[in-house]
Amino acid sequence: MNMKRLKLLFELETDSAYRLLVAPIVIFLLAVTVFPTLFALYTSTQHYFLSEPYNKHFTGLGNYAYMLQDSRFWGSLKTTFIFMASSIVIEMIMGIALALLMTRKFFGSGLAKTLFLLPTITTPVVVGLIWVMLYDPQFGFINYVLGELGFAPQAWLSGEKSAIWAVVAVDVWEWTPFVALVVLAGLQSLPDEPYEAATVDGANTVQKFFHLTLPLITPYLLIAFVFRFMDLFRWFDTIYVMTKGGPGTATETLNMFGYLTGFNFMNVGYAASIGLTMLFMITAISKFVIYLANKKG
Amino acid sequence: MSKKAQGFLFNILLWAMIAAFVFPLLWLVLTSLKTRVDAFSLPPKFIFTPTFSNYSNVLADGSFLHYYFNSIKVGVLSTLFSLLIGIPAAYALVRFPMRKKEDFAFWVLSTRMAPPIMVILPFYLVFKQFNLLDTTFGLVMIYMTFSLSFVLWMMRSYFESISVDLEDAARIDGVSRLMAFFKVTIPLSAPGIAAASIFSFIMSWNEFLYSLILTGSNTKTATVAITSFITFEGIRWGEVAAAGTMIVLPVLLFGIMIQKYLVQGMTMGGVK
Repeated sequence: MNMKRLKLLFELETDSAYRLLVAPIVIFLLAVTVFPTLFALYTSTQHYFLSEPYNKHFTGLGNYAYMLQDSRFWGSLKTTFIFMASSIVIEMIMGIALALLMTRKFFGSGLAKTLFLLPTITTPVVVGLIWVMLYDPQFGFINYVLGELGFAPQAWLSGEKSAIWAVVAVDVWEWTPFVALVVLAGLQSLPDEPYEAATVDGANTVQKFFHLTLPLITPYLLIAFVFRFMDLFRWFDTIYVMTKGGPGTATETLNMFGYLTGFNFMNVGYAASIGLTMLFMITAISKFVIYLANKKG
Repeated sequence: MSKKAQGFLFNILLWAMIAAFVFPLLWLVLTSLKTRVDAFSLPPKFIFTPTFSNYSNVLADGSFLHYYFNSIKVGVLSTLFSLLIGIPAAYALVRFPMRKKEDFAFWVLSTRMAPPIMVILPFYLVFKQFNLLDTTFGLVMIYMTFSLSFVLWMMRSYFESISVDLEDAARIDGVSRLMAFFKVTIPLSAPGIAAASIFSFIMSWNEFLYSLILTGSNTKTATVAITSFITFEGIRWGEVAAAGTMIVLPVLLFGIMIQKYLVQGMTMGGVK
């Protein structure tokens, strides 16, 4: 290659110059994705406790075999599922309802939208701490209000049954506004014509909602769903400061289980196999969602 | 009921709901300004003489402030490097004939899906081997794994909104494409770059798990440092609230500044 062509390349004048522009990001991302995956794959085949590194040895699929009959693993899978399903369902329903209310003109709608965003961007660790404060059995605001209404105080976060719902409620607080704003973006992009036609045909509000609005905003609902799904699967910070997976294993999600296995029980071999199993699940599920979306569209 | 009364009720109802969503944050700030006695009084106090003693307690030994600056440092550095390698790639995606553009963009996005525990474990083991635990370098690199995809997606949609004619006009005037990129496209994209930077900074600022595992007494970030106010004797609420307010305030201010781009950024171009 002569100097002139090299100069053209660096001045981005040739079509193949894009290679120069994307090379850094490709190299970086390959390094930080391929490497950990391979390394985790290797680690998952080892009997490996950080506390006894001298005893590290190959165990093949031993960690995976152990996982299949580990009731704590299945328990955390179930907890993850309950978390995700209930949070997403509640956030979607409340989000749609709030978005529908917000399409109407109301006093201070600009300010309202701003205030509405705040829970979503608040630092998750701080979110957890705020709610620990509000849930406090003795001095918490929630028990105070319930007490005034005549209910007995509850130990929300340390109750075997209540803990998981207390944590779901926090996620609902944090993310319903996000869902509402995504849905609102969808509602504001709706065309007028079909509604005029429906009015002429004598459709009522409920019919219009189910036969027009809902199908038309489906792409937006799907976006909200996918992002909530991905984030909930990764959710860690808030649970960590509120319950650390407890009481017992009542709020232990897969993510928390993996963390405790690797960094509390020092069993990094097993933790790696948990991580890879999660990667497999999220990849399979997202492939399935994309397949469904393509089939519909 | 008259239309006017209905409208009034509707406004009240909506604002009551918004107030409910904002209340926990307000409670945080109020608690941070209360004395110990006020903080634990029942019924809870809404009107009291504010005190800054919690803030001075938090700042007293200087360690929280040190961790606070760590957060700023890691946020700024990871954002800077993400811009440095994310912007050229975003530009290439928009302006160059490339095969499988969408696949590439989604591949970048998919790196964000990896379970954190799977990502962090190998890095932890390797960093430990090479003495990179508790270093700014290690944390910045890990934070780039998530901020990069945001920068790429946000900048791509921003470049798409800038007409190619402006660049072409500059090139007809005799400058190279590289110069046109620097002199025309970059200045025009300033708002987009600002939004992407703030977004990436917030993501890094809010991060907890990676920092918890990879840092120690030296490079700990504010989100990890705040948990140290939870002690065996109990939670020091005033201090927690003051430190929490200090962590949350910049995020909220920045968030309001880039409000327009926020939902778009969080859904990566899914919502225009």
